[in-house]
Amino acid sequence: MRTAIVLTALAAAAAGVGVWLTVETRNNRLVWDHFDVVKRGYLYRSGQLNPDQLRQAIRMYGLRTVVSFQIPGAGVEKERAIAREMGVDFVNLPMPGDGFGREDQFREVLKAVDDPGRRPVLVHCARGTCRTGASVALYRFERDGWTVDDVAAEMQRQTYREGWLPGYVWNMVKARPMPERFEPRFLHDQNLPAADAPSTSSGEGDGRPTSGLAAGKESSHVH
Amino acid sequence: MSTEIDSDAGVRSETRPSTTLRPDRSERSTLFVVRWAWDFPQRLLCLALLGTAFVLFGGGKLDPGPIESRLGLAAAERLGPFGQVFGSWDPSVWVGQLVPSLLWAWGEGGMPTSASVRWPAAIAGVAVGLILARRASSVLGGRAGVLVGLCWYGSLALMDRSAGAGLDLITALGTVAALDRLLGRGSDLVAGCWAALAFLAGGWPPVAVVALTTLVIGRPSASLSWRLLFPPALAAAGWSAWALSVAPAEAWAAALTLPLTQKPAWLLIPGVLALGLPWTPFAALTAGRSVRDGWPAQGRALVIGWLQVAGACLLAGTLIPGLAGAAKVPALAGLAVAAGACCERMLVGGVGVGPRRWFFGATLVLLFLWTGLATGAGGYLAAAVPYYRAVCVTLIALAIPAAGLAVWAAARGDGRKAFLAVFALAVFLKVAHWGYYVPEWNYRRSQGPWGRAVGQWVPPRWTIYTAHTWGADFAFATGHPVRQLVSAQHLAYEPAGAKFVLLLASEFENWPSQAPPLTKVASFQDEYGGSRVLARTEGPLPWDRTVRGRASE
Repeated sequence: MRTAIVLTALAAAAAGVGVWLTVETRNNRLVWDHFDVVKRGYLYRSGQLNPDQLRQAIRMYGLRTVVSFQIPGAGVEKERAIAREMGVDFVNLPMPGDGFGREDQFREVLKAVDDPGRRPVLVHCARGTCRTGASVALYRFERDGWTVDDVAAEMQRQTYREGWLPGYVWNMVKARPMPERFEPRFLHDQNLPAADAPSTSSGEGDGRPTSGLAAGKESSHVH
Repeated sequence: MSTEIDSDAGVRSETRPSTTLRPDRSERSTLFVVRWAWDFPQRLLCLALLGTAFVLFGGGKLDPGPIESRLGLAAAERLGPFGQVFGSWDPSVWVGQLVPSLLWAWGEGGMPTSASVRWPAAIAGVAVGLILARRASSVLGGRAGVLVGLCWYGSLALMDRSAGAGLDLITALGTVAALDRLLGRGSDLVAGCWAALAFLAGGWPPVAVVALTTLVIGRPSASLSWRLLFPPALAAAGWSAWALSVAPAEAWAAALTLPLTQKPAWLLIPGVLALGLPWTPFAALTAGRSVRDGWPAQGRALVIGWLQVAGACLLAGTLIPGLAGAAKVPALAGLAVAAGACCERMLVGGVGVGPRRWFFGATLVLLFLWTGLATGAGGYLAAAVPYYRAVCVTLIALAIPAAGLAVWAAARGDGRKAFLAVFALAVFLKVAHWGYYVPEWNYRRSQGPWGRAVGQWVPPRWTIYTAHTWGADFAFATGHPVRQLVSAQHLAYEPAGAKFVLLLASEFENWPSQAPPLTKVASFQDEYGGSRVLARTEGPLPWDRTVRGRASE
C-alpha cells in the first residue's frame, strides 16, 4: 500500500512537471525557441524570442545584427526598439511564412554575415524553421559549400518537414559543382535520318555514337 | 533452506547451504525471456536478437572520428603491412584492421565509406559476445550464457564502439578469443593462432596482454607455452619480412615502437567501468561467497579467471605505456562475464544478504541517476530542441516507471524485477545513443558535411592532393583518396590530367610559380570561419576523356 502511494505520488509529480513544462514552453518562456548556433561568432538562428530573451541573446553572444523575417507589425516595432536601445543593427526582410522569399532578401543576410563589422548575426522568424531555415541554407550553400543532402538534413533537424526549400534555395546558388563534374553538359548523337535533307553516304547515321569533340562533325553536338 | 529478514533494508532474503547449488527451477516463476532462452536454438536466437538490437542496429550511422577515419583513408589505398594515409605509411594502422575495411569497401564498389570502418567493428563486437556467451553457456548453463551476452552487448562500449573511446574491436576479437581459449582449453595452438591474429591487427600490445594474463592466471594449463607463442612469433616474422620488403625499415620500426610513445593511462579504470555500464557494478557481486558457491567448479574457475584477466588488463594498461588500448576491451569482457554470471545467480536466487544489498543498491542508484538525467536534461532538450522531443519524452515517460519498478523490486527483494529494471536501463541507453548522441555527434562534431562539401566538386574516385595534412576525419569525409604532396612542384609528376588540390587560402595565394598553375574551383569556409580553396590544374577531366575515347573508336 505504502509503495503504491509513493508510486502514485511520483507519477502525479511527474505529470505535474510535464504539464508545467509544456505550458511554459508553449508560452515561449522556458527556452529560446529553436535557438541554435549555425557558426559560432558568425551566425545564430532562432524562432521569435521574447524581449528579455532577445536582450539576453544580444549580450550573451555579442550579436551585432538582428535579422527578422516577420511581417511588419507591433512585434517587429518592439524588436526594432530593442535593437536601437542595445545599439545593434536591425534588418527586417518580410516574407511568406513558408520560407519562399526572394533571393535578394536572403542575400542581405549573407552581406551582414560577410561584414566583420556586422557579425555575429541572429536570423529569426516566427518558429525558426522555414524562413530562417532557408536563409541558413543559402549560407551553407554559398559560404560553407555544403551538399544539398546535408543542408536538407540540417533543415530537417530544425523541424522543417515539407522538403521543398533546400531545392528552392539551391537554385539561387551561384557556384555549383555540376559544371566541373559533368562536362560536357550534354551529348547528342544524331543518328536519325535528317528530315529535310537527303541522307549522306557512309559514316553518318550508322548507329555508332560519335562526338563533336573528335572532328566537329555536324551530326554530333557536345556542349 | 533458511530464510532471513534483513532489518536494515527490509529485504527478505534466502540463504542456502553451499551444497545446494541451484534451487529447483519449477519453484520459481522465471521471467519468460530467461526461461525461453534456456534451450540452445532459443539461446542463439536470444543472443542474435541482443547483438542486433544493441550493436548492429544503427551500426553505421555514427560518423567516424579521426582514428577510424585513418583506417578508412588507408582502406582506399593498396593493401600493405600497414595502412597508407595521405599517401604515406601510417604505422598506427595494421593489416589485420585494414583487411575487413578493404573487403567491406570492395563490396561497396571500391571506395570506403563510414560503413566500411563501422560495420566490421560492429560485427567483431558481436563475434566477441558470441565467444564469451558460448564459453559461459558450456560451464555455467545456457541462461548464464545469454546473460553474459546481454552484459556484453548491452554495455555502453558496444553501443558506441567508437575508436575515440579507445575501443578497437577488431584487435580485441583476436585477444579475447585467445584469452577465452586459454581459460577454457589452456595454452594451445588455437589460442596461439588467435594471438597471431591479434598481433596482425594491433601489433605486439595485444600479444603482451595475452602473455601477461597467463602469468596472472597462474594455471599450469594456461602458461606461456611454445604452442601459444609460436603462431604470433611466426606472424611477426612474416609480417616483418613483408613490411621490410615493401616499406622503409623506419616505417616497420615506427609501427613496432609507436605504442611506447604513449603515456600511462591513469583514467583507464574509471573509463572501463563507465564503458561497461549499466552492468559493471554487478561484477562486484563475485566478492560474495554465496554467489561464488552457486557456480560449479568449472564455472567458478571461468569467472574468477576472467576477473583476473580484467584486473591484470586494468593494472597493466594503466601503468605500462602502450598497453591501454589493447587492454581495454579484454578488461571489459572480463567484467561482462563476471556481471553476467552474477546476474544469473541473482535471478536464480539463494544468495546472501550482502550481495543482495549490493545488487538492489546498485540497481536503485543506476535507475535514480538515469531518471534524474532523463528528466532533467531530457526535459530541457524536449523543450528546447524539437528534433529530440519525441525521444526525450519517450525516455522520460519510461524512466519513471522503470525507477518505480526498481524501488518496488528492492522493497520486495525481488531480484528478477530488479534485473528487469536494469535491462530496461540498457535499452534506454541504447535509445538515447541512437536517438540523441548519434545525430548530435553527426551534426555538431562530425566533419562529414565539411568534407562532403569539398568532395562533391571532384569527379568520383579522383585523387585530392594537399600541401599539408588535414584532419583525417575531414579528409575521409571528402570521399576521395587524399595524397599529401612533398612539395607543390611534385604535382607535375603525378598522373596526367587535371589534378585537384585542396589548400588553405594562404597556400593558394602563395602557390609557387614553378609548380603547375592552378585555377580556383571553389572556396569553402570551415566550421570556425577559416577559408579553404579547392583548385585544379589544367587538363582534361575524366568526362572529357570518356567522350574523346568514344569519339576515337
